[in-house]
Amino acid sequence: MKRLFGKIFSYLFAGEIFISVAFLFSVYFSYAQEYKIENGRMLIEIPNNISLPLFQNFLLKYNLEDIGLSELLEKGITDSLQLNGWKVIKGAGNLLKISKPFESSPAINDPEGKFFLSMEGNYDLRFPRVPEGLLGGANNFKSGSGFTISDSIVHFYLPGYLNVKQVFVAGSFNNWQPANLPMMVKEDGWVADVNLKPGKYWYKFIIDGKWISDPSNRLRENDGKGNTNSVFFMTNHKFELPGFANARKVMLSGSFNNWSQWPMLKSENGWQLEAFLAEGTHRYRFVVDGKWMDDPGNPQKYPNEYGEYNSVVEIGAPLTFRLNGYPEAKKVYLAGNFNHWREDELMLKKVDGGWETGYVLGAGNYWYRYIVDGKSVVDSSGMISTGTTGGAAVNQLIIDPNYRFSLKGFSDANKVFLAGDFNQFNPDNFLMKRNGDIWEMTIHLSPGKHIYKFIVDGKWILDPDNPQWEQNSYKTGDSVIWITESSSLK
Amino acid sequence: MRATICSLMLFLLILPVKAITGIGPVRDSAVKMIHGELLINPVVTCDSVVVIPFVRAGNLILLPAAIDSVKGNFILDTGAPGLVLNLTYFRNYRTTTHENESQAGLNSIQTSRVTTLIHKLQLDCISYQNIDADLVNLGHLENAKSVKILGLLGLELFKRFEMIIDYENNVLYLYNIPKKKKSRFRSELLKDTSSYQTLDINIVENKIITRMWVGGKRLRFIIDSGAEGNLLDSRLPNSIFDNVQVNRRVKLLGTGNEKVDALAGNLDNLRAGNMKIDNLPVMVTNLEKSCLSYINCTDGILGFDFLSLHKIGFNFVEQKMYIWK
Repeated sequence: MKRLFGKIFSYLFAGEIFISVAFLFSVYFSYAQEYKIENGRMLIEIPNNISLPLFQNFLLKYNLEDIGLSELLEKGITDSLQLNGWKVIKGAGNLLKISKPFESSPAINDPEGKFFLSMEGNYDLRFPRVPEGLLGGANNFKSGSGFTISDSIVHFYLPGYLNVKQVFVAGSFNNWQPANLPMMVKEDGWVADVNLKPGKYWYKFIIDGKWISDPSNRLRENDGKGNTNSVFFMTNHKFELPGFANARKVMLSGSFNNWSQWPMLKSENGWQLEAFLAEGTHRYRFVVDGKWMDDPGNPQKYPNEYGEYNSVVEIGAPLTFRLNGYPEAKKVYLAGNFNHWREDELMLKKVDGGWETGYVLGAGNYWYRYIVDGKSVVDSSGMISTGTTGGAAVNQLIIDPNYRFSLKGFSDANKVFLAGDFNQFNPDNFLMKRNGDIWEMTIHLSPGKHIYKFIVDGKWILDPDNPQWEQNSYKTGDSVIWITESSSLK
Repeated sequence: MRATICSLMLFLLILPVKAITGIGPVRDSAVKMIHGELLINPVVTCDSVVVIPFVRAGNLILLPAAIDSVKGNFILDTGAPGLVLNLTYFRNYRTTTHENESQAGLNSIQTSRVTTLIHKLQLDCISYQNIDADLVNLGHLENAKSVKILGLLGLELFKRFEMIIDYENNVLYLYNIPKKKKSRFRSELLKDTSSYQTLDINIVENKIITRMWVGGKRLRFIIDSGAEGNLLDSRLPNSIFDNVQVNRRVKLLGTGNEKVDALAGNLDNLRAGNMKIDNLPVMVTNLEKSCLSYINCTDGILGFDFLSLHKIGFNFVEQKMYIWK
């Protein structure tokens, strides 16, 4: 077939039977772009007159967007291609050939390297219920709000497939066990009830042994290996905006979705959206046909940087922040890493003997200070730390501490700090406290593996009482601990 | 006299093997195989079959086991020669460094092979006493999988067993093959001979090697439960790749943090015995560094994406593989 077109090519360039082949020519080229393997090399064949949409599709389909092919086609520049190891070979006529030898993969005889041989770079198999950094999520089903929820039970539902024998649902909630949650056939589809806590879950249906993602769920995530899972959020909060019956589109935007916009659904008396929100304080606004507004039904709001207000929703129990004294002060604010250190948002109320405000925070390690009439103030009765904000002293707050680090001896040391993956190895923000002949520090750690070191008067050391350590890129080692969901202080 | 002849024969047998071991970093002493007996002697305290339910970390099989008093997860890795321990959790074990045997680590730095002797490995009701283990850093693997991994359980540990992996139900079956019935052993699961087909395997350097056909060419694959995907060597003839539908470019984690360009695709017309497999996910990459020392190079590796298609079994004594239909 290719030979035939090759012939047509040569006729064409000889100026013969031009018109009669013009049609065939265009058809040929609309299929000509190829990505293949030849003689131990990757080979891309592409006509240089390829249409832009076709070209973009080709790059997207084969994940070739970053190799510098656009620069070659648009400007004739080959620098990026060459830098990426590709060689440009002129093909017949206007066919461009670009090829690259396959680089060697690490040896399979390396016990650990071998595992990475079949893993793609971004392969991530963690399916935690509340992944670190996840503040919120909302479902997005093709029709309606998706699975119905009663109390903590989710009714997984797969419409249709009435002619199949067996359907299972498997996901992060049952460790992806394929035959552990059978679905029951009903009049119009299959159902299964699963008890879930609020959070994020990944799942698939298994229809007569074949795994499929949920056809009615628009939320999908690729696990980096070409496998796509459906995503379901077990919700714990309902946003409601009554009225606005004539609005075309109402969106929800907030700190929980990084101020992107989630479409709200029309309800009987207005608009609503169920969402999962992580423990803590969230700020949000509605966007009605492009116009931003705070939630008229929610009295709790904080001022924002535009001189307007963000509505506030809290998940969890509030803490009381109290600063004693300062009876003469006019205004006292709270600022911390939990509100991006904004100094005009969280105002304290004057109470007997000081100032107070409530604020909800989820488990974690926090730093904060008070702003008293524009001046930074640290609560001397609280835990104090330095180094977080360029050396200035701040208060430190650990919510749900679940691990105590301790270092025996070093009684002559002036300062001992704790540094680890949990604080980006910051050398001076977790100052350990002296307790008898032990330096101690209690913090909150997320479930999983953590690596850390102690810094004794500027000298980085491994934890001498922890035999578990692994090598790092500096060849100095890092101590290793594992935290489980149920880890707690004894 | 007889003794002299015997020892002479033994010497002649050992001679070529010794010569071969000199070529490359042979991980496992080939002499062990010449004697026909393994140095590892499992003791099975339960009845004929050991049924171990497993959990998965991605596509890897995690088996609960204990080394002396340390309990935790081990990866079933038929691609590893024997027992491999994660150095992080076995720091206090006395080590032996084998200066003349090196292995490439993730950072491409040649490091000498380090081994230790453990008192006891307990896997369900199977125990192994006083066995050698390689000590390596599996920290990157733990990080990638987000699970604590004490080590790898490699092929040598299972050589006395018939092993059946049922990925659908997450169960591993191990049948201790009685020495007396060695050549005729079939477990109950293999009673219905019409339900599966039998393929020959070879155990070479403690790797399972099998031969399959693609597009009229015979290819040699390593069967590796520690490989999550299937790999095909990019240096194979072009006619093999006529059977590969290229899906996209992928980046594999190479040495250190650098990434290696490879291709993800689907392989059609793979023939295993009289079974034809289409649409098998493969990654095409250059396997030149992955040659074994004395069978030249392997053409590919079949991992989870192959093993999980059907229930699959091995008899390492008879060197057979069973693939259920």
